[in-house]
Amino acid sequence: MKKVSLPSHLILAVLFLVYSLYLTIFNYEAFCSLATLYDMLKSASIYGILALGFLPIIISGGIDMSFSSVATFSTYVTTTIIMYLGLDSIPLVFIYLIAMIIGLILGICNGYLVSLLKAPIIVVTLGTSAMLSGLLLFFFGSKVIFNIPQALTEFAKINLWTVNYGGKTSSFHPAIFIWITLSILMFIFLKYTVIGRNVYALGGNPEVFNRSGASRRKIEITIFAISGVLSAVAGITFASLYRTVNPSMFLGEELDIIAMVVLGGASITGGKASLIGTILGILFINLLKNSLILINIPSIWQMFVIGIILFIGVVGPVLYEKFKTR
Amino acid sequence: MKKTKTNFLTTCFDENIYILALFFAIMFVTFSMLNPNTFLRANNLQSIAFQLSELGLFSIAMCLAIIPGGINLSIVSIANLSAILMTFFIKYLAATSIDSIFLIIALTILLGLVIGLVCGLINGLLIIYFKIPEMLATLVTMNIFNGLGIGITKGITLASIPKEFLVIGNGLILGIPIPLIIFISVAIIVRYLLMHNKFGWNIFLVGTNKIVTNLNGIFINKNILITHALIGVISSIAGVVILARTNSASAQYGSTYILSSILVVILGGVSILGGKGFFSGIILAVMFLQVLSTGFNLILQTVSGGNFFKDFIWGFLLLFMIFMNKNNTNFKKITANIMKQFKN
Repeated sequence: MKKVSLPSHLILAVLFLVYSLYLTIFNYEAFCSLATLYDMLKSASIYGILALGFLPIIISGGIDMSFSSVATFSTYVTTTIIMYLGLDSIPLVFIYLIAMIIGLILGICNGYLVSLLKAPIIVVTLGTSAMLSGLLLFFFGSKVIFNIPQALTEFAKINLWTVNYGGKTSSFHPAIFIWITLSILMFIFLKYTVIGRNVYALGGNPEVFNRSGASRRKIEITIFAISGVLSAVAGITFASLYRTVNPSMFLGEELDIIAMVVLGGASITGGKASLIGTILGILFINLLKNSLILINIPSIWQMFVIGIILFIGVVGPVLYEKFKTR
Repeated sequence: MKKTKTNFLTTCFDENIYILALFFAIMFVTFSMLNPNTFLRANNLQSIAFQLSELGLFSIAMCLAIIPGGINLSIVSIANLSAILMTFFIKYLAATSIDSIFLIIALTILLGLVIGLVCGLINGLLIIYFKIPEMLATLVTMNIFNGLGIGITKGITLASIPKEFLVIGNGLILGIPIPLIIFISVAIIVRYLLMHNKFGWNIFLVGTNKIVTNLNGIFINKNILITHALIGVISSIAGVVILARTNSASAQYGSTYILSSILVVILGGVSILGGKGFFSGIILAVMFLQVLSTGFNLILQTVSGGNFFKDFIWGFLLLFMIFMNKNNTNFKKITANIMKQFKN
């Protein structure tokens, strides 16, 4: 396994710190509080969970374009089924479970198709993504559901603890806790299980992996199943926090999340990615999205700034290597 | 993974084209029979031709990116960015003392093509100088071009372009839509470049095996740079067509074209791993997809959400064609393969 190269992390960490410091100096009142931290973590947690599911796939050397459709599909179908059956007061755990089962099935189908067709993952998942969103919009409807199960509405209001700071109250939402738990589980999976190590092996060199005799199909189905389950969790959390279920809720988010993960030092050709880098990437992009207005940059330039940051994150390590070898 | 790569000349006449042509014929006849009053009208066929040309131009660009073994995600952003800048430029020129509207239009289109060229060169330089994988490089530039477009327009849709410019997108010559003529001429030029020119041979070789190509004394970097510059120019031609056809320019227009152009290229029989393909397949695939979506829209127009059914069919077709391409020797082998899959 190749070690994750230091510069990419370093650049990201330095950028993150410098930007936070700048914000603190520029706009101390609005930025520097525990409330900001909690709100930032809360809004980052959905993308964080999605990126966690995406991480093993990018390590194995593929680009998954279907996780947002899987998330939308499982959330929408779960809510539709629950509301149709009139199970309005179903406990939260069951909502998550139903969605996770749907996500698991879709993930296994994805993984099986990838290993059956032996085509690049990006193409196969583009196909399944189109199929899923077509199925969803055609058979289950294209309306936004505002009437979501009670448990989800209540979940949005739950706080683990609240903080009072200078007249502002802010709360620690359980979604952050879900993200942290899943991150730890993913860390253990990638670092200490045989399948997790095999994922790195597959991404590092597919040819060597095949000759080592390990089952490629098992790995592919496992990582796609994990991605499906995590996407479903992210979808339900999104539905709870925003109190709507929208058939286009993650439309076009795939490329954003790929950008975040790549900014965190993941190699797009596989074999190289770290969890810490991914989390840093997500936090940084999220901070950037929510704080540009604080330093008087209108929000219309948000995407351009993210593009420039991504450019620095991608080109920076290459330049570093070039100057180091000189 | 075993990769058997054959000389591309042998794959020029592969069965994929025949399968596609057969499907196309079946679909066309079926839709004509299901909608006898609407489908075969000249009106309907003209509207199919209008819609087809944007997707067609993007597919040609994507095909050029995929043949040398890469991909380009920024084609739609380049088209939108050049459309936006052209809108500003044409309004600026119209306000100056230039009288001839043809000169204004010509200058505007020239500017659009130059913007496309510059964007393409940026992509190419990122790929060859910084050695960034094409997918990542174009993802980054997609964000930058798109963000630039949103920033310049402040997120709104620009409109009210001079009437003479709109003829390019809406006019007819002998009953044939002008966008279709643009698409066909670009396709003919690119086909000439790919199939009857040294450049085309080189990029096919780059897609087949980079190391061997390099050892044979072909400059890979030069060819990839030219390819991406060409992709930029073709994307900006698509931008001209979009601007003229819709009478508006927006940074958010047509983001689904990335997916559908990849689908067209694969349906057309170009291997996603690069180095293999037959350019005529692309044109057939574009026509096929457009007929399919128009036909389904006509059938399902009374059903709510009926126009989304085509997404499902497109995704299914993509996977089906990959499956067929994987085992395209004969039917026996396919069934044998299925049996083997079940046994495993």
